[in-house]
Amino acid sequence: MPLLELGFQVAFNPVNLVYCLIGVTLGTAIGVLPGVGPVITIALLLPLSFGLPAEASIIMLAGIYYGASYGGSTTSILINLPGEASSAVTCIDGHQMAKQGRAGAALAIAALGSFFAGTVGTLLIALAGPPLASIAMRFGAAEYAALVFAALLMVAAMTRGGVIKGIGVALLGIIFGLAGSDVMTGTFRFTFGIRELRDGIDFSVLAVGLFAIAEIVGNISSGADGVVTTSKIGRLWPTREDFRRSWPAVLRGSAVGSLLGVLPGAGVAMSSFTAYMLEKNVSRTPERFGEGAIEGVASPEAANNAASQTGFIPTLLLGIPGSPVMALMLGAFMIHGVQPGPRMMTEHAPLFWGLIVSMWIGNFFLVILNLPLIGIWVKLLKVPYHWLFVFVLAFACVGVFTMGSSPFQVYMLVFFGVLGYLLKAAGLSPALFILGFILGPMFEENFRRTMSISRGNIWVFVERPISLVFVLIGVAVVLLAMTSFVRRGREEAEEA
Amino acid sequence: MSINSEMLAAILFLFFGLAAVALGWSYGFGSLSQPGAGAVPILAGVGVFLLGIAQLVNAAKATRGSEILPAAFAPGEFRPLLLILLAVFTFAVLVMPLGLIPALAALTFIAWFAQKGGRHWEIAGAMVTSIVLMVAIFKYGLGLPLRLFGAGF
Repeated sequence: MPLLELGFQVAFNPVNLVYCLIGVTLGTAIGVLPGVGPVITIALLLPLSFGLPAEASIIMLAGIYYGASYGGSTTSILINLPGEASSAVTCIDGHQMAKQGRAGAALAIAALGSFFAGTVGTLLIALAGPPLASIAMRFGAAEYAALVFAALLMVAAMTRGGVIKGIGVALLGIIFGLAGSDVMTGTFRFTFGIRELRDGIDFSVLAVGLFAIAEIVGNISSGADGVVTTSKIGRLWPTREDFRRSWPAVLRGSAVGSLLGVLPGAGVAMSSFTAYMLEKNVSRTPERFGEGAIEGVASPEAANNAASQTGFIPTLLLGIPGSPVMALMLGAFMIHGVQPGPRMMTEHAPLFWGLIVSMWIGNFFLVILNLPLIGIWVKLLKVPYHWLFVFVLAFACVGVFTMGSSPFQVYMLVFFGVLGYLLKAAGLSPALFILGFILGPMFEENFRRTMSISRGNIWVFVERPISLVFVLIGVAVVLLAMTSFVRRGREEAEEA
Repeated sequence: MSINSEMLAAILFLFFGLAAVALGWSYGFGSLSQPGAGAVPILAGVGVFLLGIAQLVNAAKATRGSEILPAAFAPGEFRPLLLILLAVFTFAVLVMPLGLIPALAALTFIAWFAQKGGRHWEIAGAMVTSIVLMVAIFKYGLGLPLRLFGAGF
């Protein structure tokens, strides 16, 4: 455990502690604010993270990520409005509890359950990390290419709108990711004679354009400017009975979340839904669910937090993000010149372990700071969207402009705003596009390397055992997605 | 005829697929043992194009089966889309010659009309708040060398 110790040293560095605190607080605030989710916020802050040291900025972005998921639960419980898909299930019983004047207990159990699950998730990363990394060290180019292939297919299969659209939009992302000079031959691709494009399309401009602009347009036209009424919060500390009912639920939720979090695509939303269903099935009084059962809050909240945590495993150890937020995190690593993957644990040990420990500290901050601050979060709910979107837009423009000190990137923002709008109109997932964009160059490099090592033998991907496993997983997932099993699970996860 | 979202997805796939293949071709495919700069763009382009055809067939089948597919574009979205893009574009045009503050003022002003809610007198408030916030965060908070006005204050 000397490595965890190193992590503690990094995470307890006062500067990093401050950024962790800023991250979780900002994350909670935006999780609560209507119409601004973690994806947009992280995208907006990417240009800023240029100026910060790598450790501080990544610790902050991670804090935003799980802080936002906590903020999402807060609005689920108080006003029945989930900030993101993963906290949708919390609405069911959480809001019922709030109506019965027990919002305080629900919020406290959500926070404590999340903290416990976060601890489990953090420990799992610390334990599973080294052996997994040593397996991944044996990966050659063929294995990597096959892994990217499998991961993209898995995510595509789990995205709504069907497999064709999922794979198609990921491939579009790959094509855009290849823009710029080719690493092997130096050929400029898709640059159209524009000098600024020679280094490729800037990831943060792409992310801001695809997510923020399209989201703002959608929110404005759907009139997301409603006035909210909140329930009274009531007593914060749960009763002894609440604790007795909750702790087994938290344990089960943590287990479900930890497992599902690792799978690309299944992710956080699925985990909270699965945990809720499990809880209802094992309960001796399933009729209480939907009427304000505290287990119905404890378990999914634990699950989504555990999954948020273990979602870092594929991202950090394989360099394969399993969700849009993770793709953005990966982008943040790359901005700082850190290539996530099996070598990260040794080559960037302080960053890796510092991040792991800081996630645990961040979860702790959430418990001790956010419960007392709940009154402030409730006030934030009242910020009108017609003011908010102007700030988001201004922030996006200035942030993007400062990256290059030339307006070129802002013009690109217009382009990607249009593209993001078109993708949304066509029901194509911008998140998958981003995933393809990030993974495209990685796939290309490994694919071309494999082909030249094997002297053009395309079968090498099924001749090597590890690579064969990935190819089979990828194909199997797509076939499964076409059957009702996955489709049903996906629909249920979305409806919930 | 209004275009539905399934059809739009097919069109996007076909367009970008063709473009990738055409451009990729000029970069050179190379050989299987020595794939060139165009190899992956061509492969991805062909993939997208084929998926575009599949998507087109699906969309056509659904329409013929008198299934009502959701329209791709909601009429209420054009105004916000155009105004927001115009606001961003104006910012890009103004920020170098005039500086940050005039560019932000223009951005806020144009973006304000993207939405129906909000009274006109609020524009001034939103403008001042966004300028103060952005200058505070970027110029003083992060210490970036931004020119507030064109003449270089």
